[in-house]
Amino acid sequence: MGEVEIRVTREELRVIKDKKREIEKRFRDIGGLKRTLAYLKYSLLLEHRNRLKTRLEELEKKHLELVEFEEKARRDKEILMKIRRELSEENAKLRKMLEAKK
Amino acid sequence: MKVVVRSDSKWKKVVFNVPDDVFNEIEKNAEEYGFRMDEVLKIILIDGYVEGDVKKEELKELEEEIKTLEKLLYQLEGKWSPLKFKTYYIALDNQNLAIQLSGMLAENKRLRKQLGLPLVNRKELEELIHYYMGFNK
Repeated sequence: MGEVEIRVTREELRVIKDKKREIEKRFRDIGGLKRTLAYLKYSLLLEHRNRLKTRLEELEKKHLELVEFEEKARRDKEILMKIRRELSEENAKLRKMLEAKK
Repeated sequence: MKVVVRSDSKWKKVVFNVPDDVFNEIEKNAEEYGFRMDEVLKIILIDGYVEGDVKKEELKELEEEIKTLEKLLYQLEGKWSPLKFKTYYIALDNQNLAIQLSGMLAENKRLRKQLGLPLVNRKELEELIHYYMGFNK
């Protein structure tokens, strides 16, 4: 007969000793085990699903903000380049006017 | 199969003699539901069973939903990095433009003063310059 060993705390061992008959019944109750494992798996999956949903919502919000910022930055770049060109021309003109005045 | 339960004390133990077919069935279920055997044994020994009833279809539905969410997350993360990279460099260009424009504006004001010309109100441009000068690298 094979053997498998499992470690528990002293307190847990005391409870296991007291409930030995109940546990022996549990070992034979494969239906109960199936139900429990299905329930635990469902709870774990539910937690995982909720974490994913939260993460997705956060990332969607951040992504939208980034898309908006990228659009604004692109528009601003065009504006800034246009003003730079205009201001460069205006300053050149003003410098000439000042030269002429001297 | 002999299931030996021990605590830290070497001499204290509880032994369960589980028929091999029952033990095999337990192992099969552990694998099917994705639990380790030690986790399942602790459920049997310590936690006990629950009354909740979850159907296989419900589990499958939830797994499908998780797959869909993971796929969406993966797609969005894939878009995120290149967009962040692109936006960063546009904002950096704007910062350089803002630095240049700040100097050009100062020169413009000085030249206008020297020529006795009225100063032009460029409040919006100044705000834009200020915005991009503060862009955090």
